[in-house]
Amino acid sequence: MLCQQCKQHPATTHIKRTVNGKTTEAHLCAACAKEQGLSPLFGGMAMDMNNFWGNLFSEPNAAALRSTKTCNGCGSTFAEIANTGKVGCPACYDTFFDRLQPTIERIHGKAVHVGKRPTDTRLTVTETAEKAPKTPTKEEKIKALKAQLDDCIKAQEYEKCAALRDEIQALSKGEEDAQ
Amino acid sequence: MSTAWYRQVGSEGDVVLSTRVRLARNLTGFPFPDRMNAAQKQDLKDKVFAALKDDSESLRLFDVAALPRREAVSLAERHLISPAFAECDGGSALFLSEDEGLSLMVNEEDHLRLQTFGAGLCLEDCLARADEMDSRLCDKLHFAFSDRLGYLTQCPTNLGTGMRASVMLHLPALTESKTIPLLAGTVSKLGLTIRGLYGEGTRAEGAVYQLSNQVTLGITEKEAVENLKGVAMQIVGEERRARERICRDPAYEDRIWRALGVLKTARLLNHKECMRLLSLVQIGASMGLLDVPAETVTALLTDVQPATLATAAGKDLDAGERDTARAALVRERL
Repeated sequence: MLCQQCKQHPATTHIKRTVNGKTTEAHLCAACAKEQGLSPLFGGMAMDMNNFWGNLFSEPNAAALRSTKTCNGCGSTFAEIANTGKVGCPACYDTFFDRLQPTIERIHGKAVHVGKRPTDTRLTVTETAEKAPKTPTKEEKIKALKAQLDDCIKAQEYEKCAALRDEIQALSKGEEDAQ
Repeated sequence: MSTAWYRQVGSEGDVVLSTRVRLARNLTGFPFPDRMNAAQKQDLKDKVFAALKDDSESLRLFDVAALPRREAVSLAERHLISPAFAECDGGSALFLSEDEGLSLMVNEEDHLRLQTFGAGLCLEDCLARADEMDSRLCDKLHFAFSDRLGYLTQCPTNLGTGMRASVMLHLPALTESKTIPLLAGTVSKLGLTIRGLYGEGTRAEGAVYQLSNQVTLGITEKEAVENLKGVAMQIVGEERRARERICRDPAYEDRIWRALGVLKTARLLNHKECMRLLSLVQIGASMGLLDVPAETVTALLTDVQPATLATAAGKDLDAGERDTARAALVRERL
């Protein structure tokens, strides 16, 4: 069988696609297949991991996906990260921490880093020097909640807004009482 | 060249073919590789080149994109780079040590992917070598790190230590007894994963599997490696017991001898058949049934791979030429 595209070389890559119950077949030579990004050499060896990890980010949080907030480091939005399954730059972990956290917990559990640190010269140093991260202060919590509230207002999700507002009020009240 | 780790037989070598430790590192001030433009990639490469100048490992630089495709793929077949890295289009670079026991991929999925390798089960040695290289790089480069999340990586699956340690296991008897799916379920509960020969989503050719740690956050490098070693040794024990059982079966012993017969005489060997037969011969050699040195079989597992055959021939080979060259090589070695 000759390649459907160039009609010159024998077809060695055969693709069957089923979309909405409709099956189409394509028969291509190695060169044309490569052009279409279908390389046979490691073919069948690697499944589409991008897509797989992309699904990890499929938060039911529609507001987060519609948010226009961008990362100062690379200009990525959360939607771009969720779609590709790849974080944009190191600063994204700061910018979108609240939204990335559920995904990170799903992969690693509620864990914090206990391994090597850039300041360590050798691994053995970290064995006893385990450092836990500081828990967010009340102001930080309120700030994060307010950011979520802004997103919900923009997305017109008023039910969530109400819940967030109550939470913020409760936290601020607690602060006043403490004072 | 002939003494590279992937041609040697190391500790627990009847079951454990090789060990690998990989560290993922990224530099601050750059987006992750998927969002970098050509100028940023070049800038980052320059920084890494400068950091590696005068390094004690005296690494050799390879421009993978400029290599003939067969040579790039052969690097992946020898597990020195990832299959994806063999397909890369400029902007990336590979540093390789003289003994091929340490490689550094620049601009792969992360800015830096440092890997160390060794024959047999040698997790501590591999970790120590990777750790030393990492510390030297860390003196000169500013790695992206967070107190809570550890080393920051493009994919959140690698957060924390950024370390993936793996051992390559030859498990023909456990494959034969259909124990692998059960094993996969058990190791996943222990924070480990078992996969085919070339990692993610691959088939287990010739009953060769890769066992590696899955979790990288909330566990130290040492703990992860000890955990992996413990589980690997249990699997080694299971495989050895299964081999004892299986080799008492005259039909299986017959298959081992026939495999050697075919490999010694065949004029055409396709990849799949060759891997299957080598797997049988390896079991025979390890059980003392066949008088074939284990090193010979181990070296063949790499040398019969398609692109490695073409690289040895110095030219591209079509499927037919490859099968002829593969059969000739196997006959010569056995």
